Amino acid sequence: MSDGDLVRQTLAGRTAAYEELVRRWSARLLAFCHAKVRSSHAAEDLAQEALLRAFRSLASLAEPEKFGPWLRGIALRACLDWFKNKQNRQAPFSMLAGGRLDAEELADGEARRAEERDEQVRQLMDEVEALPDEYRETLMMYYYEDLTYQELADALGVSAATVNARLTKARALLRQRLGRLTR
Amino acid sequence: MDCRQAIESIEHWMDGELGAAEQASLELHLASCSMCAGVAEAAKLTDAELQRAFAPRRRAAEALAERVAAQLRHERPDARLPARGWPLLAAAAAGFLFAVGIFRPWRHDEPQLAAPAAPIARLAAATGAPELLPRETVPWFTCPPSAPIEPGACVRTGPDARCELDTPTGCQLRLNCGTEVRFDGPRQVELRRGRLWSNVSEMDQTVDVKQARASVAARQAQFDISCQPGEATLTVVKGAATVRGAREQRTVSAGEQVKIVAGEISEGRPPLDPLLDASWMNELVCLKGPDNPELIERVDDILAQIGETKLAYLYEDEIRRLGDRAVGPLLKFIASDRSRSDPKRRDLAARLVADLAPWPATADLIGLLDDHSPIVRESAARALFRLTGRDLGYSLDQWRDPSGTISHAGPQAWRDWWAESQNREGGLAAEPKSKGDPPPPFKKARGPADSGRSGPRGKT
Repeated sequence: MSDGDLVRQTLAGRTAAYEELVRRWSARLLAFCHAKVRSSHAAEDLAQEALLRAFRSLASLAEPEKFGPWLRGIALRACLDWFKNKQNRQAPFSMLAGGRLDAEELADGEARRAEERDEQVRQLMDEVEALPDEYRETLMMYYYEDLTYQELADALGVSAATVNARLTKARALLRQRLGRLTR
Repeated sequence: MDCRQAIESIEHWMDGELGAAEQASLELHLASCSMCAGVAEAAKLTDAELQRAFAPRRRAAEALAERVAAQLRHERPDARLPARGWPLLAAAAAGFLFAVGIFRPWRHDEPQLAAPAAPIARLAAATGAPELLPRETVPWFTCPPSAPIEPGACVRTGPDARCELDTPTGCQLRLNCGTEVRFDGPRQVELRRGRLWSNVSEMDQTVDVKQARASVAARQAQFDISCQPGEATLTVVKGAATVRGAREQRTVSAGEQVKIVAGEISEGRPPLDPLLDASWMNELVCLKGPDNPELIERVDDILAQIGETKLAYLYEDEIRRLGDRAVGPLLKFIASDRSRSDPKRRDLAARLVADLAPWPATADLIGLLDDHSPIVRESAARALFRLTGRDLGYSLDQWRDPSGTISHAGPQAWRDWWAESQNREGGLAAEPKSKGDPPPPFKKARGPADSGRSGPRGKT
């Protein structure tokens, strides 16, 4: 079912259709926000905000098939607002784990945090966040979601060859920065 | 396939983007070329590490989708805007609805749908993830940033979370860890458990504490309520609050504390250290950024308390040995209310500052030139002369004069000098280059008219 179909079903009152859109787009949107703000915690809040904002103003979407780019636009505005408010910003909410009382979520959160504490992973993620814009965005979208070059190219509006070139360059930069130079 | 082609294909191969024939060709090459095999190995290692690093992020994306889906179950998309391309249908629908609206075929047989209630509070900041219960019929969920809170909603904090909620009436409510409140109305909150601090604006606000069978009402006040099973403790920080118990009503003023047990109000211990009592909010206050006036006030107060403690427990020469590290707390002590009731200690602090203050204290020193105490004024002028080599035409006698002949002109001259000095230096006044040279002695009794130097001379 296309994005446009799901948008139309949502507008007709079937909220489950939007849930499908959320599942379809959450990883890509999270990668996009993460690449923009270079903070995984802030990105979660911004992506959540963008998905909810989009839901609330779905009726204003002129072309339902263009849900993806429209959602990206909303997320971009949320990211720009985040930068604007950065100085006076309050706590990124997802940074503040531990408030949810559901045992499963807590256990899941603990496991996730434990992994993120891994020093090597942290270093690598720091380097990923420090990559130049276009490499960072491409690399993040690739690893957040298992997309093919062509799917990634469509999402970014570039060619598959460009995607490959960016991924190659991004990985080479990471290897250099982390001290594993290829010969 | 040669090495150049192999190197170019390695990333494609690793990402599963090579056709079967190319893949076979590359793998054949890698089996026979150790250099290309090494490059492929390094690429695979990087890819594996990236996959591992992004595994939590992928799970975070799934969790995000679930969170949003859970929240969607409480919302409906905004249907007020008509979808484009359906104007005729929309017009027909509008006409139909208009007719239905006039004739009301359902009469009173069915209940009317309630319009969504206006939010009465909004989550403003949190150090953990607070939870929201919009209605009793749905489960608790993580409260998103800036989430609107409607009448009847409950908010609770976990064991590590604190949060601040703002109301449209200008009140702030801060919830300590393990606190739960219910918003009964725009200015009516029920504290169910935990600890709540409230800064009430010009409009009345009431906090019900059913556990203790009491309610607290206030206006233009700050108070703190701690609720344990069966009892509550109210501390008023600013202004006054009215407590209504089972049989009596009592007004509690700033600095006072009462205990309420089963509706009976009794005196509590007076708060020993308001700063310490309110320290649980420090993390929330810090979230609002370094320019937040409340944070600045709190830090100033802490410094003033440190200054007061130094003066109370150290001999003068011990404080002098601390050097310019003692100056910040002493300056804040002089400027604070803490020093008002102890003029002798305040003057001592000023004399110490006169001898110890470093260049960055210049603005604070200028602020003391208006002080009501002649000794504080003189000490500030002395410190400014030591730091800048200037007196701006005012003698120490004039600053010390209890009749205040120096009026506002002296402090104003220094403020002008400071502003001009900052502008000249692009926003930051620079420390004088000749720091090591002692300034010439202070001029004896001379007015601005004699000196002809009512402003800065030359670049500092």
